[in-house]
Amino acid sequence: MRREVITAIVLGFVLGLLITGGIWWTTKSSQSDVSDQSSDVSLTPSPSPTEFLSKEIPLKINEPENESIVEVASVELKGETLSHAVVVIIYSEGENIVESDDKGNFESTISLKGGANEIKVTVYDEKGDKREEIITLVYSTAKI
Amino acid sequence: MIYKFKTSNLKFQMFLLILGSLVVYSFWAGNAILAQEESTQASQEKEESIRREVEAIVRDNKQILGDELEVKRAFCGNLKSRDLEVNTLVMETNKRDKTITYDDETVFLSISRNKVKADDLELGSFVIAMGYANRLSPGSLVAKRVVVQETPVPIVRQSFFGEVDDISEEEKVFVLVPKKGKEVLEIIADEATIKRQESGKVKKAQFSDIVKGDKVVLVGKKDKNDNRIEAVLIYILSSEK
Repeated sequence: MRREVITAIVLGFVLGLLITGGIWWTTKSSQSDVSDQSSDVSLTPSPSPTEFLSKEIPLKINEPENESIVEVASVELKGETLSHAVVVIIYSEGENIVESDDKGNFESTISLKGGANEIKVTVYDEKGDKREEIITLVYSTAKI
Repeated sequence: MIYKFKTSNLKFQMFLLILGSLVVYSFWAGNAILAQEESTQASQEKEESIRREVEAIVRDNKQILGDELEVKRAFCGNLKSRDLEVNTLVMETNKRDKTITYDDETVFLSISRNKVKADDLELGSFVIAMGYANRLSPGSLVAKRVVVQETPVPIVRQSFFGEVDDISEEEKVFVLVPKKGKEVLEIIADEATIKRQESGKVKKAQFSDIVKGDKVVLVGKKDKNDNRIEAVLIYILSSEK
């Protein structure tokens, strides 16, 4: 009788271990599946809808910012667009045509008249497609 | 008797088996719950610590950020409305309406540069409001100086892109074929500055440098005839284009 009891306890212990081990293994593998799926999602971000929609020529005027107050009559306009694109800058006192460099950066000196100055910047790509931006600068030496 | 003993012994063994399993499982489950609670508590403490650090950084930099967000700006446009009770003007600009607020220190100047008051400003007049705007609310400005100015003459010059077709050397006129679907233009270039790019540098060129098939970008203004352009600047694109 005593031998049988010991056998039952050992068997129960082993069986219990097998059951709990099985549960633990199942839980762990399902967790790792979920984390794998989530890491897949984070590693391969899906393109945003705007990436498909925006086929517009990029154009950003970095300096001077729109609606800036400029205290000198001549200012360096800097921006970025496609590389080797033609950039036309038209302002009240004149016009310039420049080409952007390998990185798409461009710059041009423009002269301003006192007061409000509208500056029209147009970029053409090699096919002749264009993108236009207009900024307004105010040339004033008055202290604000 | 032997049979009974075996049957009861078997039941007893089954009972012990189940009991043993339950004991082990309960022990494991208890440990697992304890571990989870400890980990949740630890992550909450970490989260709280990070939040405190971020709050401290934000507090320290609030003043600096505030200073950087305030920028000198000038809004230009036609005066659309004014509310003298709340010291506010609304200006119509190219893109959208902008709000100007002012105080007793704001200087108002008429078109003849005389000091005036806010209620002297005529609706519809072109004004330049100079002051400070916040980058987070670019549609409003706290004005320090408001100046009335003649409405600027719109720029009539435009840019054009296309390929050169027929050329008249004598008249300094050529035909420009823009992109497909657009009308052919006649370019008058007798007073135009002509430039071209040679080995990475922009050089002045002559009318005779323009040849049929060249791609050009030019600036000019439309004549009374919409298809005729008086060019002021012509840029001959490099052969790679």
